[in-house]
Amino acid sequence: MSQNATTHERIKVFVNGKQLWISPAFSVRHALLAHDEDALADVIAGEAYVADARGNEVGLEGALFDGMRLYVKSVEVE
Amino acid sequence: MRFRFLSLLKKSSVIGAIILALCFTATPRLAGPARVAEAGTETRLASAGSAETEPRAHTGTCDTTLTILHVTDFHGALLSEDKDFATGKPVGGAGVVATYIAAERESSRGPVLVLGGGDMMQGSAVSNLSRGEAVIEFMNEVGFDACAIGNHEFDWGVGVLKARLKQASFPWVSSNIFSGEKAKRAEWILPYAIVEKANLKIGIIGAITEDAPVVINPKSIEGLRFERPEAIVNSIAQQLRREGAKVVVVLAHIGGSQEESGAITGPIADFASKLKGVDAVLGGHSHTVVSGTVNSIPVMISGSNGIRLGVMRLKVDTCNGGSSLVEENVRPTFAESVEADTGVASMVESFRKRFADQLDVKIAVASEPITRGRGESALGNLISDIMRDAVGAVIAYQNSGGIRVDLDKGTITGGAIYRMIPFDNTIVTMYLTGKQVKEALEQGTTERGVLQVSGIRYTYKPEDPPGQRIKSVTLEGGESISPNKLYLVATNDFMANGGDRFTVFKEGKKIRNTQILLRDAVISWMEARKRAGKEIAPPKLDRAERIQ
Repeated sequence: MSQNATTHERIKVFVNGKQLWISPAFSVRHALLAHDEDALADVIAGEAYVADARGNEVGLEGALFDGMRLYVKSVEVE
Repeated sequence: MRFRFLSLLKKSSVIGAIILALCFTATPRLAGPARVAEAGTETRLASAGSAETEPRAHTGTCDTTLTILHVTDFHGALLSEDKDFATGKPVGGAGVVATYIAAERESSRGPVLVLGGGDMMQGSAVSNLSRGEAVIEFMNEVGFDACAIGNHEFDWGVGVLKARLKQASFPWVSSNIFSGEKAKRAEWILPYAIVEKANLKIGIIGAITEDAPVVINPKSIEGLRFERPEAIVNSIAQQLRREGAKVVVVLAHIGGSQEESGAITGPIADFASKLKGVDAVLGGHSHTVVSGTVNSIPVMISGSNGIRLGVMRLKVDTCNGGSSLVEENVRPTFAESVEADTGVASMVESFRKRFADQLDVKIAVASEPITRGRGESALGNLISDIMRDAVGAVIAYQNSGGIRVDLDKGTITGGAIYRMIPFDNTIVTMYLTGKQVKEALEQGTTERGVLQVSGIRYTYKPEDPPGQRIKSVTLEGGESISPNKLYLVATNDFMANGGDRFTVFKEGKKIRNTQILLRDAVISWMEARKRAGKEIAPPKLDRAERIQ
């Protein structure tokens, strides 16, 4: 598998700082799945959410792009 | 941050704004090759878009403030079911979004433009079952001025998309979709539109990511090509200026993100960095929140699912053209802070009721019970066959855990299929070598069960060590699998991304997410059988032979 940063087959996505190689055909949901199935389960259950570097939410069905940085954050319970 | 404006909004003021709008005339015009706006469309655009035909304030004789409201990647989120992550408060819903838009129209100084960023329809039960009709109805009701075509607009095929474009009372735009080999623009897609508000001529150019094909069912875009958009947009922007447009906005279904520093990254940044002569770029596709500038051009992406509304204000020199950014932010649409527009809410409810009955609709008839299981199962074989047939693959794999209940003998309803496949998994295709085809079987074979397959037959011994359990693999016709040959394989997106610890699929080549819901493929296949007068019979159990 090619490790070039911008092959059409795979792109580089970071989840919580960890680098993944994933097909650009997939979405944020799949990046989480590839990173950690439990993290995805937490997001689906509403116990966590995906955010960008500024803390703004990123939708699970959002498209990926090369170099995208995602962060899984816990939802704070009052 | 809590957003309060309940005291400003009553239903009567919303209706009042709309009635006021109808008293003014404006002359919006659709432009682009081979497309002329029908009179009814122009009238609707005039009435919906001219809420602010008389600017309320001028800083000079040549100044006005243009407000752009942006909703992107709405994905059929007509019902208010989301929560704001920061506060836990309900956000979104068509009625709520409509109210926020109406409030901005009422309070904004100068003309107001309401734009959609693409991927507006596919995604919710009401919208999916109505094939997007409910969302277009909502957008018409609100008075959108234009919308970009996104990749998911193709989910139900070009025929449905054309019907939705015809239903819309506003233009859908995309400048970089071409048909055939001669670089002829697809004649049913407008590259741009020109809207006039308060005597301000605004050019709206559409664009879509050139990588859209990797996330669209190939059958839906047969004969279409998606080119790099920058040069095309620049050329059109020049043309629009020559035609008198004082503002040029690019509606780009292209994604990106924003660093902590504020720097915008990703394809939208690359795209905007190459543009000339445009006043604003509104992105989408990535379901992110972006609010900043690239190349001195304001760039905004307004989240997704109606949980945010993008607001951008530009101070425009109406005499000479040119603009400067006054304000740009992407706000949560808190549902509890406003009274949802009752007209829109009522429309959504009528669609919801219409389709709630669909779950009781008879889809097909099973001649006998079709059961699932961890070993090779009739239901597993059936679903794998349908998956393979849906995308024309040679081989298909389905995990047993994705099939939740059996099919009983007799009537198969929509509800039964939803219970059988409750997840919104899509069909993914890829090329695997023969060696990888066997590896997938190895990863799926344990003493507790096997993968459900179509297109191949194999023998196995689960008691043997992992990696040595598959003894032979052939195509269903008997031909041996060749280790280095590439085979077109279908599976679901869960397994394709390593779900259930299937790592081999992550190594596939030319991975394509067709966006076809497996459940929809099953429903379509069964409906076809019913139309042909055929019952559904359980397939034979002859694909996975356990040897002692």
